[in-house]
Amino acid sequence: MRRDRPRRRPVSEINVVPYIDVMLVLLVIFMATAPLLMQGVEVALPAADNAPLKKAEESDPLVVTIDAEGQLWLNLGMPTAGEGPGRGATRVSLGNLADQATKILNTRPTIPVFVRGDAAVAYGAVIEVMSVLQKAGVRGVGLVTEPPELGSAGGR
Amino acid sequence: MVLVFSGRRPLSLLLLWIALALGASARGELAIEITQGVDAPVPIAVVPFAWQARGRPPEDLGKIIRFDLARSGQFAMTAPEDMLSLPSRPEELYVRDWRVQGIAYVLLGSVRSTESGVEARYALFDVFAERLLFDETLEAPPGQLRALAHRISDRAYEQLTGIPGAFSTRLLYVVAQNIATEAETFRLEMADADGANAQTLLKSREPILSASWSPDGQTVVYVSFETGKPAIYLQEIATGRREKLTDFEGLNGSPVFSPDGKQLALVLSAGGNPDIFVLDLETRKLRQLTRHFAIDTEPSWTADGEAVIFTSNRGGGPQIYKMNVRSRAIERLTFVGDYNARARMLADGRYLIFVHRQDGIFHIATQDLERGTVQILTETSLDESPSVAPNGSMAIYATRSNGRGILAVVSIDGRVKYRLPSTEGDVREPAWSPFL
Amino acid sequence: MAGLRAYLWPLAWALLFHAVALGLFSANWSSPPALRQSSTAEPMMAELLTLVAPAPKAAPKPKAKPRPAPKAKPKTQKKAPPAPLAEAPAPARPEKAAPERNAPPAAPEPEKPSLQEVLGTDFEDALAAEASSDASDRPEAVGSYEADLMARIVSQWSRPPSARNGMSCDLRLALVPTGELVSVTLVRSSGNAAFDRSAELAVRRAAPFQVPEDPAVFDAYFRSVTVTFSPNDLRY
Repeated sequence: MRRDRPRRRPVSEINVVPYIDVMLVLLVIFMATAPLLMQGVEVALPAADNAPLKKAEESDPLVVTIDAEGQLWLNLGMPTAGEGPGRGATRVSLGNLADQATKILNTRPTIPVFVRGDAAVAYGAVIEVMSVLQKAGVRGVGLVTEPPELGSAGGR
Repeated sequence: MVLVFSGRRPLSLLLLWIALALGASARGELAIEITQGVDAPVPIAVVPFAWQARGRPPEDLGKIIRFDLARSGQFAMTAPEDMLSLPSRPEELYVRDWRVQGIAYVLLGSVRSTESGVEARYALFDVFAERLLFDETLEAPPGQLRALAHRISDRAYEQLTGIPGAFSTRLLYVVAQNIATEAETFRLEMADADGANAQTLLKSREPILSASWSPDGQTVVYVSFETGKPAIYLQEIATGRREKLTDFEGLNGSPVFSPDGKQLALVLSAGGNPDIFVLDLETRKLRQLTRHFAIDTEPSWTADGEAVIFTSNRGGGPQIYKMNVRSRAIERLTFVGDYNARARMLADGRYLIFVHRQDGIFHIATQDLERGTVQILTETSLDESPSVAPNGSMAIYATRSNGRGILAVVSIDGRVKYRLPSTEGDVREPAWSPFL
Repeated sequence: MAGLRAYLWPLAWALLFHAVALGLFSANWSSPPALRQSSTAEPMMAELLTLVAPAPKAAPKPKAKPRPAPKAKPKTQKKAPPAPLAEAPAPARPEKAAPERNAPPAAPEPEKPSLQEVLGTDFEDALAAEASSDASDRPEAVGSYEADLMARIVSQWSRPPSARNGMSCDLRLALVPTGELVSVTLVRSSGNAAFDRSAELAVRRAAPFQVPEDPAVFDAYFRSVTVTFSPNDLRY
């Protein structure tokens, strides 16, 4: 054991150079990608671990779903059969949504309104929906998220 | 020892009983008692009826029903323009469209032509229980759409409230025009309970007073001054045939049918001052009921026909009294206030509705005969002649607005009030028909 | 051989470092791509919420006792407890809310465990009683939920005009741990269909209810609730 040591010493000193080399390359890669990654993390909230929905004080909320293509779905009317984002909902246009929301708010001003935006949907589309809802008289909306462990499974 | 044992046995039994009771209650049974409610109007939607009959709809059935039910005050109506969908058949109804608006019941229907007229199919849906309460059809001749709508209102009202609807009933009232002028006219009119379809039964240059219905709703009695002095007439509605019943010297007033329709209570002053008489309509025999030097007037019957209630000033001011028709036992009913008159007994026999003066203003008031409590129903002044709907839920009365006599309706609990649309002239002395 | 052995440690370190770096890199990479910010509207209040129960379809499901919710629910159920600790009253904590209402049930209940132990009547009850460790404060927590349930029903109950003081009907409510109402059964009718329906409507409109988080307490008290409607404040 003791005889081995003197032989090892010179070798270990040489090895530091590739090590630093790799480190620097990695540093450059991280520096280049970091700004891009930061923005993604900030905005892509839909799979977020936040407070679960309080046990609904009021039942029968209005749920506006925005799917990945930016199409709107409402939990009203004849349910659409089959799978997909609109399962159990009906498709509406933005003008239609404004109309329906106004009618509902006229009769039930305290209705809870939820927006279920797809993680891939543009922020602008969500804002557009929210502004339409606001004009209809909605005071505040709930942005629906899914708990992370479901989020990966649910994808969408 | 014996004492101890006998003392213990009930104790152990008691323990066992408690244990059993607790065991039962702990098996997932939380027992809650609800003794109060808020009694807010129930949200209901009447969907515009689909018109599948020939031609254009002469009447908006849904609108008539909506007005009917809204007037009852029991329901909060949803405007058609706020409805998310307009189903006309129960199969087309999506529960969540209504739940999201918090609407509890949906009445929907359609009208189609038949050989003899029109047929309405209408259904009432319980949104929260997701249950169809009824789905029925009703036929009517072409000109009877309003009546058809009122029938549907009656059906829905009875289903939801447990008491029959009185929307298919009618009103009698007197319209006076150009009062105190040369062209003074009086008309005895009959209209639907919502004030529509008014038709004139009698037109006269002299006053018409105190019209009231027979229990079958086929005949009316009233006082007419057409000969220059008061006389009581009986008139068949369908044929218009009239018959003079009394025209004694002095006052002939306030004729009211007994609940069985065989007798008439009325006021005559043949003996010098007004007293209550009973006229047997078959034998035409007159019987004097009250005999008092004070004024006895404005008779009406209790629901069982056993007694007559009337206004009398025998105690000083006008108050309500009750006299048994057979035993002639008399009882004073009102003690609150110094002016109580023109009383009608509600069908349950517990409440009295009458004109009550408070601080110099005449209101319509009810009195709970068991507790003696008086509740003032109306805020207007100069309210007079209350008449109760046959289902006992509302009372119609005459009041004044902008110097003109109009008719208004108040619910017996005082929560709901509305005015009837009035034509020109002074409208007075309303009488609500029995069920027709 | 000797040269290779000398390279071993630095190589190991380098590999490890690369692995860690790659891991971090790929972990970040899996998050969705960035979104472009677009023109903003008027500011509006928005709240981030995790939807516990899927809202769109609320079809009544036939309920078996042990498993309360299908698929998604158990996971979210696990998530639920932390929040109430923060804001809502925890079931185990003694509550002061509505003391006058929970007075009646509080009276007989404290005795229960001891009685059952002594008499050994019902094994299930004993289990239920043991499940929530502190027997003395449980009834109070139940009481506050009970008071909330009562208040919600009262605020929704519109009696029809045919209702009279002295009428009475019993409804049995079946609840699930999320507080949703699964079914309402008319156990005893008042004889007046409109009255019965008004009671049922009140319950259905009042749902969902706040129920205890503790499954044992929920099972013992809230899975099935019998509500008696007997008005005493009517005019008649």
